[in-house]
Amino acid sequence: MKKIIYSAAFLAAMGFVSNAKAQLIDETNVTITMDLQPILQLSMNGPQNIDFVFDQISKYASGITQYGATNLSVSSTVNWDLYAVGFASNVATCTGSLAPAWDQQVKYGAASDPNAENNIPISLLELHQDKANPGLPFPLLATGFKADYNSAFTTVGVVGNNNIYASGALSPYTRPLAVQKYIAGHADPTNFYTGGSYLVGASTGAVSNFYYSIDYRIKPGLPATFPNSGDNSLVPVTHALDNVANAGAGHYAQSGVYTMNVKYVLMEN
Amino acid sequence: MLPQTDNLNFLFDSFSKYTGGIEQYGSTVLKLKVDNNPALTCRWKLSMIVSNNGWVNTDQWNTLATYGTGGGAANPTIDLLEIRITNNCGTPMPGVNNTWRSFAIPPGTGDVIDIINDPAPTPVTTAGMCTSQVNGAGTYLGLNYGEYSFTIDYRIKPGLTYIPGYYNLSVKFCLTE
Repeated sequence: MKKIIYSAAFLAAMGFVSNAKAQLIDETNVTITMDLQPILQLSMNGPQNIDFVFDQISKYASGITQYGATNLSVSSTVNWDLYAVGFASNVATCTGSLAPAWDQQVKYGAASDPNAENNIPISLLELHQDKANPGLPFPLLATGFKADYNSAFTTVGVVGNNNIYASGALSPYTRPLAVQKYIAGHADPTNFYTGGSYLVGASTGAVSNFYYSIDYRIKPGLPATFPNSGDNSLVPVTHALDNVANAGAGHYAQSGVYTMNVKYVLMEN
Repeated sequence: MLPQTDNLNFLFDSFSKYTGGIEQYGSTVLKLKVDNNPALTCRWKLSMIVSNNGWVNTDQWNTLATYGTGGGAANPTIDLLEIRITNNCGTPMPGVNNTWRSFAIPPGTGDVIDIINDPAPTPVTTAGMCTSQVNGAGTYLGLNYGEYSFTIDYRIKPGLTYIPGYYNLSVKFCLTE
């Protein structure tokens, strides 16, 4: 009996020692997942509708400029490009130039003059951005007359300085080409502006490259031929209605109400 | 060793989260129970080891998916993850206790951070002393909770330089004799 008790005690002791040495290491694991979602935020301050009412001869001759009518603020977590595009709901083009045209909502009077054009070019709208395109690297791989809308409005018509990029029958999401204008960044994949925000960084607010104030101008001229309208190629081509290459001498814009849309597109580079 | 959680998700879906970062306090609590050996000489070490689960670039997070084109940006590196460890007695070693730490890159030289590591011939710091580097036998149960439990905080502040995507890392907490 004693032997049995001693044996049991010995086995119990062995078991105790074995348990004590069984666990020389222990571990536990934590898996950490990180979901970095791309964020592109474009805020616009200003009216949704901008009206240009030409009801005096002086307005036709000198045009109407609306300063700072739109303020754009960008926040982006990725490299980005920003462009403006003008488009209308139909796919009409202007006589001769085949430039994309505004939508005519109504015409005044009989409008029976065959020289009165109801398709007027979207490119007659001029934009001015308050600071130059900050796209990197500099210089941009832009091949147009101007890479952005930073040129000052001129009293003497200069085609190609400020004319808006028009998508026409193309989708407004068809980005401008290298010959056309961007507010920031450009068409080439190597051209962009880095992620950031007007809220943070070395420069914030109005002096930031993430903040743009946009001016608008329309100058019909007398008669209303829109001499400033033109494309964005290296040597800009005029879209003036009375140009012999377009509708021709004596042609002008029909009186009426016209509408178009300006879309600002912020996109990942 | 009893962990409190085994999976942490950091979701960056607003600009403020990108710039301000996300902190998850006390997401992991390690509770230790260390039994003595017959010779009463038990001494233990606690460390944490990072792994990117075999991703080809050893200094980067494991990339599960990417969003968009990612032009001009980079994959996040493992030093983006910051970890802070503390307990009631402040037993983690100096430079680790209550300090935000990240794993150094390139890994292999800096992918291990010791929490308790006080090797011989330094005498064992026994339970109940409530001081730095307690590494003797003891348990979180009872009077020594502040020495045998560790609260882990996590922080990620990505900024705006990384490719958007879905990434993961593993952190292993290892208790050895």
